[in-house]
Amino acid sequence: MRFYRALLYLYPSAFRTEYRDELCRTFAERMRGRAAASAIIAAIADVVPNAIAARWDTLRLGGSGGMALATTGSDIRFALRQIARAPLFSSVVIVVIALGIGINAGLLTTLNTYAWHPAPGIERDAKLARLMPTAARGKSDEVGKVYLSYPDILALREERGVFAEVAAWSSTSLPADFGDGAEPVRASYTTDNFFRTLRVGMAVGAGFPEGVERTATPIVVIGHSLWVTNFGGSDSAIGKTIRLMNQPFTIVGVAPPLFAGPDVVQQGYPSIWIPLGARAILEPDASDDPTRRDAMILKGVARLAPGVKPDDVGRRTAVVAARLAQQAPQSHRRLTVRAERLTGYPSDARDRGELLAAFFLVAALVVVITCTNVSALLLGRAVARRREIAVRLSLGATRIRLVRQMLTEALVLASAGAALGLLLYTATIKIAYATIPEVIYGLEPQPATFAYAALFALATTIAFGLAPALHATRTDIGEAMKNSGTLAIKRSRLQALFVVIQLACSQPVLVVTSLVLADIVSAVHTNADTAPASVVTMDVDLVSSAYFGESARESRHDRAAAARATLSRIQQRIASVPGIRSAAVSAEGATVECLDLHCIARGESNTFGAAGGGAPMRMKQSYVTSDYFATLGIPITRGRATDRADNRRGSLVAAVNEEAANLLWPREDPIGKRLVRHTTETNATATLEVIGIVGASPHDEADREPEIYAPLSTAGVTRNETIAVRTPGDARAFLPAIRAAIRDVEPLATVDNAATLAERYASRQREATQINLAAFAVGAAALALASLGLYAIIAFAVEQRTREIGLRMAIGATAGDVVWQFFGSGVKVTAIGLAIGLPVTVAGIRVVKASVLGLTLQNVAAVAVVVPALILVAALASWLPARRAGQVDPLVALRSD
Amino acid sequence: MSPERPDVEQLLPLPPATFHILLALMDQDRHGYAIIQDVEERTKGELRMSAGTLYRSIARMVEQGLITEVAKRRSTADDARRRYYRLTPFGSACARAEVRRLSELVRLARQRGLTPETI
Repeated sequence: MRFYRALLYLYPSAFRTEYRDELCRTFAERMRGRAAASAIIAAIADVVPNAIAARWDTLRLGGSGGMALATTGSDIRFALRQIARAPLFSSVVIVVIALGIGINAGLLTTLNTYAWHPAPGIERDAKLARLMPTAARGKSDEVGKVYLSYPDILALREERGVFAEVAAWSSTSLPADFGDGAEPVRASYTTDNFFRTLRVGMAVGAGFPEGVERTATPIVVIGHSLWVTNFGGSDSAIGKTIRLMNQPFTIVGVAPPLFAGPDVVQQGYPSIWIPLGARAILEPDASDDPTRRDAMILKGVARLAPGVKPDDVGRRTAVVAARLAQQAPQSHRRLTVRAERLTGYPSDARDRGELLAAFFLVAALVVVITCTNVSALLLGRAVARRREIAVRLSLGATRIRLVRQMLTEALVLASAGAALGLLLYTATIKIAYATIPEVIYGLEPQPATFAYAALFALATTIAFGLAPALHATRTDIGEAMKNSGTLAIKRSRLQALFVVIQLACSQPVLVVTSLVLADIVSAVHTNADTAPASVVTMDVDLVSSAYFGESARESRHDRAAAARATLSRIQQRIASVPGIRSAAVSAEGATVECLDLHCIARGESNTFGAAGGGAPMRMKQSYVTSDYFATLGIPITRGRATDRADNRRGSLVAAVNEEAANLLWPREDPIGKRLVRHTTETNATATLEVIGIVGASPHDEADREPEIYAPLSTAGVTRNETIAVRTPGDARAFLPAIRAAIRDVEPLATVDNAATLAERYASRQREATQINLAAFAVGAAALALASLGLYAIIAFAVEQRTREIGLRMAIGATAGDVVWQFFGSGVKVTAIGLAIGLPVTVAGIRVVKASVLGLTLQNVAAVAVVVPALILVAALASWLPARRAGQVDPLVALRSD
Repeated sequence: MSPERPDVEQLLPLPPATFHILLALMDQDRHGYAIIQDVEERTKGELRMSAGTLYRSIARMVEQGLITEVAKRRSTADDARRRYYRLTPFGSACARAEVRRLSELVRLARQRGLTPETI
């Protein structure tokens, strides 16, 4: 009831004065027999909307608003005076609120951009939906995600009651030549209504004309960044010709800035878009011609018909899906086509749920920490002012007047905090965007998000400011004037509760952030000094040469053999460049699959087992030429590396790294042992003889995977081909000669991502530092919030109990006793808080464990560092004020008010 | 309260809460909680007014002259501190006008063959 009475303060004063008693009586009668909690909820639900409506009525119809305004004005002036009188307290509160709002708005902006909004460049639109087709895969009845075929898209377009438009795309990587050598770009084959459906207009040019999706028209829309880099952002780019896979294509449009397709994961790559029909020019491999029903390579996006919700799509396409399933029973069995609102991350994207949960957890905990901090600080302050409050009460001020006064103060502080938070928020996002644009591509400050966070913070400040205000004004005037101790005990219980909540919440935040941090640190723990500038590595792509070059062959097998031959010729040619010490090629094994995105090479998955025993284990395998280890400076610790003779003969031998050796033959000498390799895709088994053990490369990542190295000549189809070259001095000087050598052998090969080991190390280090900084900033802010609050709460407690301390010391307590008492109670409260926070922390670790890399030793170490650090901070926060308590002079203390 | 009483037509249509309060005061003077109970009873629990909604409506209705506070308490059995409200002639005119408006609406709907059963 007291709560309801206090809430009534929200009404305009004239209305309140007139009806207060009636309202209370009626409310009491309605609530008779109800539980306290439900009464509180009912009170809020009753008063808040009605008070807003009543205030609105007063504003609209005039009436006696002037008086209320005058009191509000004087309240604000008084609040400002109070704030100025306690600058330290006020700045702490403002900083706490600012940190809380800033962190929250930042987290919400990230969430908003990546999880709830369409990818950058696409306007938010309730009519846009991503198609989520599923069908039974293989022989089992298990239903999984599938792509759609072009005939499926055409059939869906006929459902005019459901879809206004249906567009589709399929992404791949292609070599594109803008005039100075080929570079790989992200290419999407799209239907001609792709941009129209997404309502993405061209920055320049007309885009795709209607009907090109069925014809092999060599036209292309290029991404904004490619346009700026290659054409300087000039309109004359339209009509120019570029070469894709060495075929001429005419530029008909430039996509707007930031747009890189409907998937956020495409962000940051140079992108181009080609009509679906033109795929026939680039990939004349007939096996998955788009006109075929079973060539399911397309992702779909649709503009829904008026009145259709994404949730309805599955039901309303059931008939057409069943028909499609009947027409192509092999690939479309049990087909359904559901849809969801178009966002940058589809809801079935990996880790999306965990990521969202982790974000929400941190955001929610930061809110709780901020609120308890503010509340505790306000309470401390209010209690410190209890004499002033008692004086005003005895002079005839009403309690409601005082509560209103204190709420105004809280609001003024919150507004100042919100203003500072805004600065913090925009600055953080601007700085982050400037330093790591590739990580937070398309992130920008969102006024709406900030307004939401700020409003939320203001609302919680009022809610949390109300408790201390009510508490402080429930003062027995006589008690307060005499400054007796009973009040102090009540108050310190409430404050201890705040400390407990505080610690229970900060622990998970800190542990979660430090876990992420530890993961990143452990991933790039490398040795800078040994990463040489004299070794350069680069990716080389022979796809287009395999299709169109001198050595183009009809069958896939021939193409693979030709690619191997080309690679080894390239290696020999580079090695013969004057001055170059050695050159080597490595590649990963691959299999070819033509049901997914065009005929792509998928990684080979191999399992290895020791011959004659042991369960087979999945391990990474690389195919390498003879000089590979010497060129990269990887030591051979035992035995020998695969040599030229192995490569020539195609011997079934392998070098294994120490990690693999330990797994396969623990505590045994692996040299001469036999290794059974089973390739899942081809169902082929081979027995390899182990000839050497490969040591750790000094500039490799810290936690290495087990890996097997076999001669390149024993590989089938390969992918991710890399060339490594060792030179006498700075390898960059040799790059033009190396490129020339590669072109000499194969003019259509594309070279990409060339960098020396020193550069690779430095950029990895830089990236890690940036991410570290971001994670560190969040962790530090959380720690700052927590320790500030803790310190302030205990310091206030000491200050307010000065008289009690004086009394104790006057009757014989030593300074040590007093210090110990305060310190001890601080530590006790800390322990309780940490214990309560433990389950949340464990839940947080579960979430992070799923989304990051797993619980390694470093992660456990991170927790082992965080918890004692928190205890240390808490201990310090209790010890500093406790020491001050010990220095109290009993005489002064007893005289103090 | 307001010397220029608004025209009946100006107040139509009446907000549902206002109409229900007028109905509750048709037969007798009532205090706030009694109004809530009466409305709840008549609507079979469908409309449960909160204290805030009630008194905001009452304040407005007093101002518009639809109802007035009764100085004399109805019975000694009731809590003497309670404030009772009574329908003014203007209030009952408004309620009648609202009923006319509603029946006209229903008549129009029926003419088009729209009855609760057809929906």
